[in-house]
Amino acid sequence: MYKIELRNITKSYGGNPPVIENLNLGIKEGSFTVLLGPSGCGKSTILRMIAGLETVTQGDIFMDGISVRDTAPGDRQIAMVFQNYALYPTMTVRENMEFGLKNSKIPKEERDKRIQEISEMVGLTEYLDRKPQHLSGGQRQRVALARAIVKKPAVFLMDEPLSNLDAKLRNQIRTDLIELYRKLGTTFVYVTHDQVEAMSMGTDIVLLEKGVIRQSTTPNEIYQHPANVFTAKFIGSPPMNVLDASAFTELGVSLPEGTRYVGFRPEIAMVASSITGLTGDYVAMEGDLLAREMLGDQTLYKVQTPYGIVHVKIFDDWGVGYGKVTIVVKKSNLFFFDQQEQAIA
Amino acid sequence: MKKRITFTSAGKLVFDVFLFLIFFLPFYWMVLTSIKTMGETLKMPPSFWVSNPQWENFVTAFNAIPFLNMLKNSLIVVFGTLFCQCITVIPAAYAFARYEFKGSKFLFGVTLATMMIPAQLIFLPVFLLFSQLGLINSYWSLILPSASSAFAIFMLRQTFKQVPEELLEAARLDNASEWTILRRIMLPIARPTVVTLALLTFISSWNDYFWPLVLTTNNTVRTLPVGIAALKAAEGGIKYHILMAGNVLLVIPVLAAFFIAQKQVIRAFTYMGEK
Repeated sequence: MYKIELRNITKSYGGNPPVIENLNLGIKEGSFTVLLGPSGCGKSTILRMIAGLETVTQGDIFMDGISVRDTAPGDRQIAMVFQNYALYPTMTVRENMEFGLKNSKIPKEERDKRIQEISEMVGLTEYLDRKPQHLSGGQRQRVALARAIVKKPAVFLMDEPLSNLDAKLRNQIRTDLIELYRKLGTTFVYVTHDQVEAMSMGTDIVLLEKGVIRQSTTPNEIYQHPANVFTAKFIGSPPMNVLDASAFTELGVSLPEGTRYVGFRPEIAMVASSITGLTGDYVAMEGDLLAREMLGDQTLYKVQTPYGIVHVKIFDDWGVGYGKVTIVVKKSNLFFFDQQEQAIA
Repeated sequence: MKKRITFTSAGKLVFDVFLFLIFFLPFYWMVLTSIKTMGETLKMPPSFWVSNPQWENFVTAFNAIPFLNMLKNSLIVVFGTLFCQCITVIPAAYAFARYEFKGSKFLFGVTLATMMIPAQLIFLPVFLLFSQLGLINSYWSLILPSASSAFAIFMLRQTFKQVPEELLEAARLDNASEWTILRRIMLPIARPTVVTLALLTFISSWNDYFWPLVLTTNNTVRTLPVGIAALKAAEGGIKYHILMAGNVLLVIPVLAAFFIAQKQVIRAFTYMGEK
């Protein structure tokens, strides 16, 4: 059964054309569902509609099968973590955590017990009497999380909670969030534009573009079987190389019926100065090496081929020099897309 | 280490001293006059120092008017005004800052427009209105004209508007009622502004001379500024030393209020400047 279900949701602001039109989405109980997409795709709007911070223009939202269209945000059994944390600046960490509990008329004993428990869990015990302005970015982030956890909500909503942190801290809190999710076992709905966050944390990914769901499945599935060119290019870094089908016809690859675009991931391709003795399982294309980025465990190559620019990611670097290079891809690793940019199975 | 005095820093120092004198001298002159003898106040050229301070001037001023009664009147009017402004200004400012309602822009415009009408223009209609309502010579006649303040509504609205929307959303998700949001989140954030506005109201209400003069006719409800001004009317010419002694007594509570609120006031003005 779905924990949260959006049925035929349309959202428009004023008289403008809708930003989301007739959207249907089910979020499974106990899942870590990531709403992923570029800015302006409507992912935050969806989250805010689930929270009740935005009204629904048309359609209905169900939680545990009951419509929450007319339920106030405070009564929806949710907790939200904001991008800028939205901590109450005049309250101490303890008061920040206690505010929601007080409003929900939870008795003092229970409040103290929960605050004690959660602040230990996220490592804030010694900061309980500090105000947010005297905390570091990472600590504020943890207060925001603690404030959400302490309410014991049925659903956690997170709106780009890591985007204000530096890269190192972001990686650290990412693993903290995975641990937290496994410990609590509640439903998480997480909004991000970062596919790494989505892939690393999510159990389910909902990829959106311009208010439309492009693909909704598991991280593994979305990587192995992208449903369309948009998904193929959004997931993975660098993005999948997608070239015109004519290039591969020219190179002697037999393509499925109706193929318009052919793609392959940078990490499954190989690059070398010269290649001899290729079997029929492989396809090779020549090009000029434009740039080479040595990243330690991997090396990125940017190659100009007659069919367009191709990126290749190599894990064992052979030190391919600048000049003419050959790119080799196993034919079974190719993805095929039709005229409408949809994957051909 | 020797400090070099540059041309600009010297200029700044001269300017600072100049500013200080502009604000300080009149004040100094008031205090000085209040402890002179009558002869000294009229001496030419005037003396800038008093070797034999006349402390009894304060007693004379205190006894010349029903001082304690007027002090009580002043306190009632000032705190009555502050109380009324709290219950009118805070909700109005919150509504103008945070709600979109029909006619909100128009109403806010009207509110601001009232700031441009001078008191001298409306005192006659107000007097007629109050006299028909039988309010003349009552505390209400002194409190009601400033029971709300367009300026305070405007300033507080600006402060409320600076509070990030996410904070209110977080509070709504935390099951907070509008009243709780206002009391526990908005007002604590706006505290420096509220204190500053309260201080300004305190000063203007405490010093107000015009409305008490217009709307009251007897000493039972008249406030201190009217009483102090009455010291002028004594027989045998103006006794400047007594008048100034009265003024010193009048100013002391304002100074005390300012010193108490100083920190908040400075914070309010730096906060307004930030954004």
